[in-house]
Amino acid sequence: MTRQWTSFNIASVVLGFAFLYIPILLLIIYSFNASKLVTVWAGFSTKWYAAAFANLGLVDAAWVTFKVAIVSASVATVLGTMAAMALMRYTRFRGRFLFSGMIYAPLVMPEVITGLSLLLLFVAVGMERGITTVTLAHITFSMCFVAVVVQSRLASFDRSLEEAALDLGATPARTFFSITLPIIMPAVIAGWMLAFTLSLDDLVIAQFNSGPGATTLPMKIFSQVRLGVTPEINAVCTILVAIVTLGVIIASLSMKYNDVQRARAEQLAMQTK
Amino acid sequence: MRPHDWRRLVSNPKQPAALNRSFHPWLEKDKQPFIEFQNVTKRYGAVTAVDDLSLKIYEREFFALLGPSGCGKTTLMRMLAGFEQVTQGDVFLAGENLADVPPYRRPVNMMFQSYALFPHMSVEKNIAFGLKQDGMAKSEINDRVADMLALVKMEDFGKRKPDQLSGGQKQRVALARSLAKQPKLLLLDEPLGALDRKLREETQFELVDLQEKLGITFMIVTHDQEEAMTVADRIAVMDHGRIIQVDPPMEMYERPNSRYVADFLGDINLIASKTVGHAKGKVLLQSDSGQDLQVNTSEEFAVGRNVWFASRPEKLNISRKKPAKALNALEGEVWDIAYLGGLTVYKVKLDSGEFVKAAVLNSAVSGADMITWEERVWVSCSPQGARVLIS
Repeated sequence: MTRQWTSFNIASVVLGFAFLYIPILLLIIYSFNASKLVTVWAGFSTKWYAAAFANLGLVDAAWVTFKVAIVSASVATVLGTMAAMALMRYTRFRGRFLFSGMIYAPLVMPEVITGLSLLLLFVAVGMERGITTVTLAHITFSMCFVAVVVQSRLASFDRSLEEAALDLGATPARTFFSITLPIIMPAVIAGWMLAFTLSLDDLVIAQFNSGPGATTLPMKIFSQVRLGVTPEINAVCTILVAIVTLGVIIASLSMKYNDVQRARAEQLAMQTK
Repeated sequence: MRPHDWRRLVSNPKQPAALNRSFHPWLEKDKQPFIEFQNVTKRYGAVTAVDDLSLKIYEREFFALLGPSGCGKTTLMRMLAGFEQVTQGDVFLAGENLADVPPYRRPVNMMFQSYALFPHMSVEKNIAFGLKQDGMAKSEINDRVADMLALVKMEDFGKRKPDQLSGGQKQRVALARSLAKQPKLLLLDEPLGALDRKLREETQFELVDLQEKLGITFMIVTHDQEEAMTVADRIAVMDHGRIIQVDPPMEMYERPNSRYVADFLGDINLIASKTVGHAKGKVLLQSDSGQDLQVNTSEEFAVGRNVWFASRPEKLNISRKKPAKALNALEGEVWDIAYLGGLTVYKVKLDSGEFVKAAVLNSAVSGADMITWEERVWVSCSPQGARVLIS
């Protein structure tokens, strides 16, 4: 394998990254535009950030979104982890194959269908649409993502660790909380973060299941954009990008830290053989 | 009374092990077994892992389950730990039927093949884990952990995480953790499988010492026959979910009850034969190629029965001339030689077409006059050095 940069390599990298990041870069740059016109550059300014924070509609929507995202991600993580445990652990129950297939199905289900079916359900049971229904809807569709992430971690989990805990006198519940959960924690956290982001940027399902007073940020942005894109929206989106980027950076740094720790541990083990 | 005084053991580790040479509880009449399997069967769907098996194990025994992989030995052990349910039959521990006792209520601890150390806990926390489940006082836990670390000579490693230990150190921690609760029975699942040869041999002797000092019943699962013979008071050889023979190592090696056991435990030469009669304390055989053979035994066999003349390689003599008192002497040609340092193994093709192996101790520094390839030789075996096997 050659390690040299060829013009083809460079071209692929530049084109690939340009395709991915030019739209976002443009959005960020224009959020600092002094002009009210989105497409005309008229000097640097941060006034649209101030305007965004002064826009009570936007701030309310952001607040709703965070509440929904935190609650739904947390509940989805608990349910998804339980589902993953059941599917991985009790390998011989009847219909296991069907159940694990059904866990994956919502991953590929069109959002419109998920949103619509939930709406029909809430209407049928006479539930007032609002923040509760949006949260329930988000739990439903993000739970399976958590289950998939946790399940893949459990697949490589050494069962004899749990057996050792039982053998040493820990009840099954204690075994789960003091052995299994701490070991699969990184996957559980990753699942939570995934569920959180999914909830944060969901538009379609929220659109179907929300009601008055429960407008999420994506819904708000979408409705404002229909009246014309303002630099204010650019500012809000830039903040969202910043939050997501920060999350990714923290996650990858902590993983890197773990790798370094492990390498150091292995070195120590070698030295003291 | 506490079963064993840990502090005394730790402070006086060089104390000679109370090796009781007359330890044969299995020969005593009316002796209550500590563990008893009664007609135990275990099926996984259509596969029978353990097949109508009965077995008694006595207190303070070091018992080895030996067999190839898939013979059911691990299943049998896991039944004692409580990780496998019995399909049919009963398992008793100290007189109590274990059927409805979950693993976390059994006075049994297990050392796992993978060690199963909790990766997110330090060595100390690992050892303390079982004690905490019992609600033991904190100071008492600390004392016990320190004792256990001393017992396995790992005092300086209490704060380490399992990732920071070598294979041998992990093995010691796993052992300490499984002994910390002072179980009545310790199960060892291929405990030394991951260690290199030298360390494995050392650790085998340490295990025996430890077991004698602590007076706990040990049960080990292994596929390594030397390991089983080194550590165990008695060995059970298993195949296809059944026990083929249960005996002390020497008995098992010298008097195997079948070709399977003879071949599994060491090397064996087998010559297909028929019984032709009995003499005083002897059975007379004729090999299928017409050679007269005889074996010292008090057993009686029906005349004309198909049997095997069986002899271990080290019990065969090899010489260029026919030995003077030629009993069981067979002529052939050296086919192959394996020089192993301490021993030389000759593979001889007999004139009847069968192959036998003869192992010769290299007691003198080897010279030029050694028997070499394609030489004509006589292989002989005294009637005491052979056995008649019927299956």
